[in-house]
Amino acid sequence: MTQFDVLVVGGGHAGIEAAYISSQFNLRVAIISLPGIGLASAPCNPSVGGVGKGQVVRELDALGGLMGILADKAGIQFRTLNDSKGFAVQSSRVQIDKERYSLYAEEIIGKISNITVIKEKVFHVEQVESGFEVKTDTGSYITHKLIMTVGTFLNGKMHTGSSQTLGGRIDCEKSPGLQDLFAQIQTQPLRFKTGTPPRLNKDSIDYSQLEEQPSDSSVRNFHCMNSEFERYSTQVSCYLAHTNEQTMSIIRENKEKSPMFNGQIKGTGARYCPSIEDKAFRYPEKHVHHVFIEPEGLDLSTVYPSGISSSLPKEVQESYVRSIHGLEKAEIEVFGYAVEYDVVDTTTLNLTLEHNHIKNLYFAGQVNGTSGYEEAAGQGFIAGVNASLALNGLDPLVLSRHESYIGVMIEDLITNLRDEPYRLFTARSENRLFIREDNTLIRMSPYRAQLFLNRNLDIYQRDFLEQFESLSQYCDETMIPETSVLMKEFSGAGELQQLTRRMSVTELLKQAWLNPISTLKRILDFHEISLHGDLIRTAAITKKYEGYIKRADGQFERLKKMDSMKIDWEKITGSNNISFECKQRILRIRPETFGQLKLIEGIRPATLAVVAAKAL
Amino acid sequence: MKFLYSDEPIIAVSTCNLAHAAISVLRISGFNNLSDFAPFFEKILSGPIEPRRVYYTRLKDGDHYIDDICLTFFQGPRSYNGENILELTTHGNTLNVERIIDLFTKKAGLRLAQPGEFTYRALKNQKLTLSQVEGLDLFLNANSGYALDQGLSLLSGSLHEMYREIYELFIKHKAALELSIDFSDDIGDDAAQEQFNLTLSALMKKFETLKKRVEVQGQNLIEPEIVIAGLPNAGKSSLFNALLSDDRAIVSPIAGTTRDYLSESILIEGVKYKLFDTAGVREASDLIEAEGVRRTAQRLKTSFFSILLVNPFEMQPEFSQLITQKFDLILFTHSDLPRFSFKKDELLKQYPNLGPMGAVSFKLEADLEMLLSGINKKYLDAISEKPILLDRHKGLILQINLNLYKYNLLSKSERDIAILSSELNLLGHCISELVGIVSPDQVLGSIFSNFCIGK
Repeated sequence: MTQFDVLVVGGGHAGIEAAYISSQFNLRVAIISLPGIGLASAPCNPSVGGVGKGQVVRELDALGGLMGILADKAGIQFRTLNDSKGFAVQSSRVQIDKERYSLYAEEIIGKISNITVIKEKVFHVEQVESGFEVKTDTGSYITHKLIMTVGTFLNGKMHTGSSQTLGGRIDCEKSPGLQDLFAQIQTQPLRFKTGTPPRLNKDSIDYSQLEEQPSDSSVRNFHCMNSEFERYSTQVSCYLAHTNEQTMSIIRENKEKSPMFNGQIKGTGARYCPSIEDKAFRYPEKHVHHVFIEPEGLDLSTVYPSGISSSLPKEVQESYVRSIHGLEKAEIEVFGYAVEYDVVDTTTLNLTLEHNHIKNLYFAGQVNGTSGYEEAAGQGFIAGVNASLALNGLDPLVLSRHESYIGVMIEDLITNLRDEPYRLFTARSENRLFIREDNTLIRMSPYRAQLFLNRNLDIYQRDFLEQFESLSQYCDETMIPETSVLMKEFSGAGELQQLTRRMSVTELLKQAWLNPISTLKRILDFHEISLHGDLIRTAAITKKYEGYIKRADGQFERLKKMDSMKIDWEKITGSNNISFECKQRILRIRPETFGQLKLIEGIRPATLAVVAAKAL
Repeated sequence: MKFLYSDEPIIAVSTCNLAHAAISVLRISGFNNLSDFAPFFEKILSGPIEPRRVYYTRLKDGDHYIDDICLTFFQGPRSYNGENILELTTHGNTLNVERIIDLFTKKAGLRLAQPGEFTYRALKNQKLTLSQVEGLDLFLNANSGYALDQGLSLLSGSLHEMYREIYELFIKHKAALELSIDFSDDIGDDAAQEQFNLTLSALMKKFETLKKRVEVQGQNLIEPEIVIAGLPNAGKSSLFNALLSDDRAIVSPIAGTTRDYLSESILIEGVKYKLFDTAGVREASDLIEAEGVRRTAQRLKTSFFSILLVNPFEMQPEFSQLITQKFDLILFTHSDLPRFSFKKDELLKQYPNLGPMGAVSFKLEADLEMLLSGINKKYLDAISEKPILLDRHKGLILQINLNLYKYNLLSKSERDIAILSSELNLLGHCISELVGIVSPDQVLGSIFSNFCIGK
């Protein structure tokens, strides 16, 4: 029987990150994935990044993940979201050629000698003395650490109209449920639901009727060691279409046929990722919704109409798609469907994503009830790196929620009992001004250094940090006299925008009307200093936000103090005056601080006030 | 003040403990078994004691007959503070009450309650919200019908309801801002901006009504003060006495007799005021008087109604210094003396800009009536906007107002939405504090410090 140190079940975005980072610790690693699906496939939207998620991809990249490398290589349209809303909330998003993305993943993983890729179907897992025995349809494997990244496959059930198919994805076989796999996990699994839109033939669309969104050449690549703006694939455009009154009334007329609304689907979907049916019934007065037509691949015949995912019967899908201006002649190649699946109760996991009661078992990705490739990849990395660190006898890697979106996500997952899929967005962070894309290396490299891997990435980051420190010092110490030509250039039109006294570079970068990046670039050019663009960007924005972050820190100090206040969950749940529901939630999470208690969803303000008052 | 109250059963007198009161009410709270007290009651009880029924019985200490009492049992959680409560109505003699408390603390293991402890337990058991506790405090210490009303409106939760509405509007606005960051792609920038504007103006509009209620006056309306000031020998103490119709202040013709100030409670049209007689303002020749003068200036600043008494026959250079303060009323004394009009006119020529004035002779009831109705009118004006009386609320509302104003301005100029959102959080902290979601130690401390034992 073949033996592994780390075995990953599932070859999706979480799975490959888990395996990839584990392989760097010189362990025997295996991925078991269903036959017929490529590694890192993209069954839903063909894009990587987005608000909050772009930050995750960069964090992952700085820690040594794969996603940024793959996205750059397969990227066919780049965009910065929230471009006009300030640096802290800007995020990169790239449309990927999903075929190439998967091929590159296979190529990279295939070249790594200590990863074995096994294309078989798992049907049972048993705890044995040295870890786990994983049984597939044709074989059996022993592993010390087991990482489950099984996505939406557990007990998956797909719906299109009244037709139901067992399986987690189109063209895939049925998989067992969570309880079939693990006899030890007895709790009833939660059922979540997600959906995907119909795929359209790309030549059947009248693009002249739609608004074009070309690729933005000023968006930086994700991988920090890639040249900033180099593109590795041909760039294409996305297009924007809109639903109209007719579209929405077709959907409303067919309410009875929607599995989501006629009771056929029991699982809960994310409010943040609504199907077109959701939109139709939740906003009855609204008819115009955005539909982004996104390319799925350079050589693929399909496009992905983002914003109209649906589980309505085929004929209804066809009729509402064709009601959209520009899509009158659209041919549907693959119909949309909704899928229901088992998810793990993540409050039974710890900060390394290891199960609290079944040691050496980790869960990551969509099986944890998250949505999105980026969230999955981030968790896959955390599970993989911690399994490997543990095998090497090293301390676990735990990212602080105040320094990273991955940290925010993991803490949210393990403290929150959710009733809908978890999607990351910037509002989930309390420290948004600091957790930005531009300063990812500053935030992440101390964590990366904890892994002691000492590869090119580590050398690059050490260099970057050193140069950042000296550039930062340069900004603080270099004074620009009021007589300098620069000051005339930087003066704005308004009366208050006249620069009439000498100022440090840092002070200049804080002026509201100046773009800090181009200002710093200009000053460095003027002083004939040439530096990497990433470095200039990081320093300029860091200086710009310095003051605001200090102010926000001050605001939160009292709150933080309050958050770190120790509480006694046993005493709280023992009280007669807390509602049954609150008690149940507190009992599951066992919060130790006020901050953790506050994070639990469904805790009533009254309960918080009582605990805050130290009455319990 | 830290609250380290333990959960053990407590006892205290809940009524005013006067020496010759006919009855007193004692409360025992937080015990587990009513039967623990059975040995103290004689033969009451042929059956079990039903909650919320009054029983007449005899209290005894062993064989020693102590008092005839009535008792009522309130079973938790359906009681004032959610705990088991036993109310004893005893005879009111202070000695008797002390003897009964002694009995229970020594022989039944009860502890004497700390100030506010009954109510603190009500808060802890979610029987009352923070606002309701504050309302109760206001109600019990009210010195006017208006304060009683406001205490009651806090206690019943109607003012709190208004705070909660503001909190909800804030949350809606916060959601709109977050929407435009995280979901602008889904809904479009224009729709997001519209949501932002709509929710902000709804919040500001709602807050406007609350804001008016704290902007009325700076003075303390919970315990409004009437201050009488003037040069030495202007007749301040005489007015003070006339108002109180008793001889408490020492009235003597030697200037500077009242060294410090005296104060008394006075009821005008159902409102209780504190009336202050101050030391005369003059270059002080000794230390005590200097201190009195300093305190007078301080008193005047925080007063609700200030009266300047002027004796036109006895002017001092300090007068010009005194009238730099603002007075609600300037009264001329000694109007019964000859040449009064001449002296008064002479003075008015010298100081043409004095405020509203009148003449008073302490023997004329009509003059005093006029003064009292002036004070009452000012009070009625002050409460016509339904001012918020509690300092904690007032402070928070003013702070919210300032932050909201700044935020609204910033929202028109700042394009960096993350910075905007960080400012909004600051506003959010104040609003949640007003609702009572986050309440730091000192808030509780200051609320409960006002309580007497037994509430």
